[in-house]
Amino acid sequence: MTMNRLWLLVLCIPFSELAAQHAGPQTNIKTGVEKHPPERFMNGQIKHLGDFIDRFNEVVKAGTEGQAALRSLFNEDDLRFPAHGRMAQPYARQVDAFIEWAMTGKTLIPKRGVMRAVVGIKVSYEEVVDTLKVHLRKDYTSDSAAYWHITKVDNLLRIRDEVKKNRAKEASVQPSGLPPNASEVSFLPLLRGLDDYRSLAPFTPCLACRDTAWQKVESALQDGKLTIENVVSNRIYLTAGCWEMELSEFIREKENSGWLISDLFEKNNPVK
Amino acid sequence: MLKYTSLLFLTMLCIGRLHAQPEMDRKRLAEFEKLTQQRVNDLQLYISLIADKSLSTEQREQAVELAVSLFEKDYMVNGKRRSPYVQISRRNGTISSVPVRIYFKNLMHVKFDKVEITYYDAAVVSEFEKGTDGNYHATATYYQQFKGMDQKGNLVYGSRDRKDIRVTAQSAAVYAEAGKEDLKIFFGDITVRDTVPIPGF
Repeated sequence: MTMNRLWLLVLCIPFSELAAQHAGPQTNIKTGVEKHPPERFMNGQIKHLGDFIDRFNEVVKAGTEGQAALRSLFNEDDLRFPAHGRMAQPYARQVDAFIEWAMTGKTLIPKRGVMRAVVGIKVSYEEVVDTLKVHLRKDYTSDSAAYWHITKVDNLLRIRDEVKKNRAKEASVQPSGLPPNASEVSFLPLLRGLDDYRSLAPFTPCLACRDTAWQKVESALQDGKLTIENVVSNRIYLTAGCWEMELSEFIREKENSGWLISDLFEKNNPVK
Repeated sequence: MLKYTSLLFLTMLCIGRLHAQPEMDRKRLAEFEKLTQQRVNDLQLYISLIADKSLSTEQREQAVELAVSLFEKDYMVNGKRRSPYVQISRRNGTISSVPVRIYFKNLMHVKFDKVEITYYDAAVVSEFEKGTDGNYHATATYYQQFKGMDQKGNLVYGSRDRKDIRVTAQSAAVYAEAGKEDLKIFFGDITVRDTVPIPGF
């Protein structure tokens, strides 16, 4: 082989790894799927929390021009907003104050900022259906992995006053290979994890969070008296400066849908 | 001499590249996003084929296998066999869950004489986020229109659903010795949310 050909061969090596990318369908029974153009609500709907944060930051950067866009991040069907024959309630004034603050202060929401959730889980306790309220916080490990962990569970009224300390102690050992649960969509991975391990412990690394209510639920889960079914309510809380926004998911066919602000809390002024 | 030194330098450069471990930078995550879009297209195609009663049972069963192959493999946890499942939320508040294979098999045997499943060009993939398992995770969302008709082509049932699919992305060195790597995308659980019944149902 001549020197010129060798040069060519060497130059080809960096491109050889491109061949390893495999993305096409695995078989060709038929090609293509007929698709309709998206409807307006499909583009307008805030489908993911990251999408909400991006939109919020964009409108805040835009300044006063983004005021209407910021207002559209609130649930427009909220009865506390003034409408035909309805008086404005304190919430509407609070929203105005928030919008003014956001437009002037231009405080952005970090992608990895403080995020917490309150999830209502339909459970069955000794064959009676109930709702277990679970408080969660999104944390990041040192290698930047995201996960939700349980910070509190609210007491179920019917649950028996039984706490099996020995079992609770065993459960404090975290099994390896926990399923990832960073997704906020119906918290399915978390539900699956609770069902797989029959324990809250793998998802509650904070030992101080394991109070009496937590231990009662933990005992009932371990005994098989409490079974997890599905998420029935899902609220996410995001912090922006001195405000906390409650986000709820509105699945409906209009542009004002998806993850929207359903309530506001001013940290220094908890009474609305 | 200069030519040989350059050749040696270039060769060393290439070897260096071959042994470099993939890094999850923005470019890599963008590739995962693009690949997820393609996988969603594949899944949509297979679902359309599964529901198409004009195809033979064999072809539709093959489509079931292809659709299932896009999902994570079954795994064992605490002695239980687990596979991804589909959770369906209806507007009347009922929620039911079935494993993906059963869901696709049920789709093959729906009671309608003709089924038409179409999609909207609005699939969106959320930002990939690293999970505690070391893989990257996102959610893909798309809208699907389902129409079930009788022999005369009259609409018997119709709905438009929003589907959210959990996506796991891995960058695996499949040809370690050659230094080549491959991107892998697997689907996990699906949430199907019945958004609106089509008028006429």
